[in-house]
Amino acid sequence: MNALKGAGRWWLCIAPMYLFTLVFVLGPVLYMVAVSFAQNEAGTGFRWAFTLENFSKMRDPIYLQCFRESFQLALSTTVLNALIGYPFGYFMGRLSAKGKRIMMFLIMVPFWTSSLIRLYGWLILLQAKGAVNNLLLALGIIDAPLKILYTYPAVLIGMVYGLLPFMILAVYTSVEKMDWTLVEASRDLGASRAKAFFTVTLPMTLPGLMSGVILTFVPSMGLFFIADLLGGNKIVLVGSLIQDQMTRGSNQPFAAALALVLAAMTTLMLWGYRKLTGTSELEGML
Amino acid sequence: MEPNETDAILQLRDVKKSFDGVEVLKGISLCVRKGDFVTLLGSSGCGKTTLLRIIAGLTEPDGGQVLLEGHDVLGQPPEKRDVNTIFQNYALFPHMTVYQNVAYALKIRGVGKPELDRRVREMLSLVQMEGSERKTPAQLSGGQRQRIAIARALINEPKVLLLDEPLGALDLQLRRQMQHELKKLQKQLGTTFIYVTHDQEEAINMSDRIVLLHDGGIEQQGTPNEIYDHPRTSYAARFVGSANVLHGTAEHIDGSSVTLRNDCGTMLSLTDGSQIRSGESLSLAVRGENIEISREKPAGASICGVVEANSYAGGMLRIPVRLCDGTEVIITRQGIHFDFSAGETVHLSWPAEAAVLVDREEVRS
Amino acid sequence: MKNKRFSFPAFYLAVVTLVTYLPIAVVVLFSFNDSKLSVAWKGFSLRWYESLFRDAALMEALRNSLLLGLVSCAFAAVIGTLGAIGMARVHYRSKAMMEYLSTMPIMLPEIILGMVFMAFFSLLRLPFGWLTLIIAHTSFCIPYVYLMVKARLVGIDKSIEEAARDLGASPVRAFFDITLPLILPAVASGCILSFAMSFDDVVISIFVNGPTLSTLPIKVYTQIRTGVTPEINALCTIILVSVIAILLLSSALRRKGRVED
Repeated sequence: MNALKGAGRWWLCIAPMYLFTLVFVLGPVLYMVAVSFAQNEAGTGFRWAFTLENFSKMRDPIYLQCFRESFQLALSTTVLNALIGYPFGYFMGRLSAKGKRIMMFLIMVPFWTSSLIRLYGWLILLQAKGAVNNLLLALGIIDAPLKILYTYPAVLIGMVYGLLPFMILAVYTSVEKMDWTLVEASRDLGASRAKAFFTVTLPMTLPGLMSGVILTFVPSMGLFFIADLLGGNKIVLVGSLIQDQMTRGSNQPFAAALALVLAAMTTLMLWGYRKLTGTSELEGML
Repeated sequence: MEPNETDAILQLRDVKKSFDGVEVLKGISLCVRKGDFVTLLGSSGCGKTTLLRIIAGLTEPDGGQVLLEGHDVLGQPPEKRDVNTIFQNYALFPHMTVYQNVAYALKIRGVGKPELDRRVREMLSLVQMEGSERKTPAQLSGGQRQRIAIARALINEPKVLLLDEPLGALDLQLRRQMQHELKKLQKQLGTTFIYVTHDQEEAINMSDRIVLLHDGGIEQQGTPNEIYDHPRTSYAARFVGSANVLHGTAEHIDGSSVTLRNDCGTMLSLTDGSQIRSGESLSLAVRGENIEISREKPAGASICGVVEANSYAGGMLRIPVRLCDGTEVIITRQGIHFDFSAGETVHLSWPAEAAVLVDREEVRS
Repeated sequence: MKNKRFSFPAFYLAVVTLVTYLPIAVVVLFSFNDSKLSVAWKGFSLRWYESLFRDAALMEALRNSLLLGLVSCAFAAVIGTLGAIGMARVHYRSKAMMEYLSTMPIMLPEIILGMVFMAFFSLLRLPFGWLTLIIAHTSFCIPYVYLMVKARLVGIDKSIEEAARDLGASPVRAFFDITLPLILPAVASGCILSFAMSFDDVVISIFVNGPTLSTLPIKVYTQIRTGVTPEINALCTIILVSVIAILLLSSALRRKGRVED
């Protein structure tokens, strides 16, 4: 017991996490950074020689286009998610305690069900003879089946759908925490409903909204399997590119450079979030 | 009458503690007599909770000694010390029932089932909580949690019971009732209580002795009467019984009283005049309820000022009077009737025995 | 039902929730369809459930995924819980940095984590398979347990443990009597969450699973890509039912934890 007195005991508690993090998180990440500056050699892997070639290679129009498309898709996904998810989280936060519990359950079920399964559901729905087309035909909105599957909108649907729960939970968490007497106070001071919303509610739930933006934007840059399954091979995202370079292309340095750029963008967003909200933990992440 | 080392159950010698370079306790020395109800009184940040935690063993002091029945207990972990604590927010174990909470200390000591059962029931009946054995703390009201915390701490029959503002979370009425019950319990058991509070009324109602702490040091200690009637410092006078402190220079000294003069008039105070030189600057403390107020200048010593808007609180009328030098004197009266209106010039006086000289270094020892 | 007036918030919540459930409903529906094609309804049948249990490769993938989830989640539970407890008590200058590093696996896009692991494991010449999968999954399970337990520890009044010490418990005894029971619901929720994440992961697994070992999500992914067999629908339905069961259990646990506050 004496050997483990005071702080020593707590250090011993941390040791496994410390070791694991250093060896299996920091180690790989530093290795990736190093590899991103290495020289690729076709067939044999790569050589340790400092070069910026992997980064300058990204200026190639093909890769630029890929970054642009990924960014566009991530951005549209995030904007749509915010537009759909914010009101959802907001309305949910105003329900009764029982209503909240039920809604929470209803959201968690699909959230925890395999994302692949839900994606596959969309695959069935969106196909040429699928339910969506049949519905649109029956309603007389279209005359011939639309080609939705393997197009950009299909990927967008899949992305928004897959990431919406993150946005909802993030917004909901901050709406739940809100002190509603502040809104009442602003109404009492003469603000209209809309004015009270934009001057009080929105600023106070902004951390949740921003957290939701990060939680949807960051993964959407890398979720290659959604683009892959719903978009066919037409849409190449940075994520797909990295996977391709890692496996088939076997150009590890280039993949590492791509990942580094992606990681840098992510870190920048998290840093911005921390600067703006003063906390490092994203609202409603768990 | 001060407790000395021979009859002390607990002694502190020059206990010091700093947090992040800020000195919270500046060398506290204190004797606590066995069976006394001692209150550590002070405003927040005066170090009273830190002192209690040092006695309990939850905080290690930077220097000094803590002696329990003559044995130095510093370095002993809290579980080895024969003192128990009632925490500010009760700190009941939320995942255990009332029974398990109260039984915890005995269970650790390996007390057998029949005896454990008997003593738990005994404690619960002592705090009038029979029948709630199977409830969890979440199902209890604030006052009930308080009682369970008392039972849990007392079951160990500690030599000293430490109470850290135990009534702070209760409403006024319940607080008064619990004050009474705690005092009764203490007399009944004969256990030494060390009680921390910032409420002077609570301290006066319950204690055998009050230790007034201020800024990490002991400002004054004594019985409630001693501190109330003979505050030694202006801080003690203001904190206990909110007295007015006035300054002046000694003018007329005779055997038993002294007259002070300042720009607003003269003031009388009872004192042993032999140690005072004429012209010395002095401070006196006088309680609002003892101040006479009149339109005509009275025959003896008096000071003058202007009545300001009065207010009513806690069964008392508070009448602020602004003296000519800007000092505010608060006069208090029972009831709500008061014959003077704001803006009137009045004369204030008091009998010599109502005023006490304070902040006199030479008589502090 | 006192007020039957139309309410836009309720309508909005209902519509979005309904759309959320649409793809899941379709999968469940077609798992009972007699036809091999997921297009038209041909009558009720349990044949896909039967052939699912006879599909050795799929069942093996399911077993692998369950085992992988359990093992990683067990490692994460120990490492993450101890870490959270320790981190709450020690203070040092680079603590914030350390905390950032430990939670990085769930902050970075999965794709980066996957490729980084693949490169690093080949550098260490670790054989791709169980070992690499477990390390990778443990790495992103730890943050979930860690953050859950940390949040719970913040909510526990420090004086509760002090009270136990005061009543005679040694530090170790106080930990097992007081702290551990109080954080247990958080450990459990962290475990459930990390198991779900592990069980659902495609992106990271696909980089580190090696040539012979397959997890369920990888199997499903390749099957969807190559043309679906309806057994997947049946499997999905079973998983859905399990998820609902686990969720009900975890919400019961959470409520228990909350009552104890």
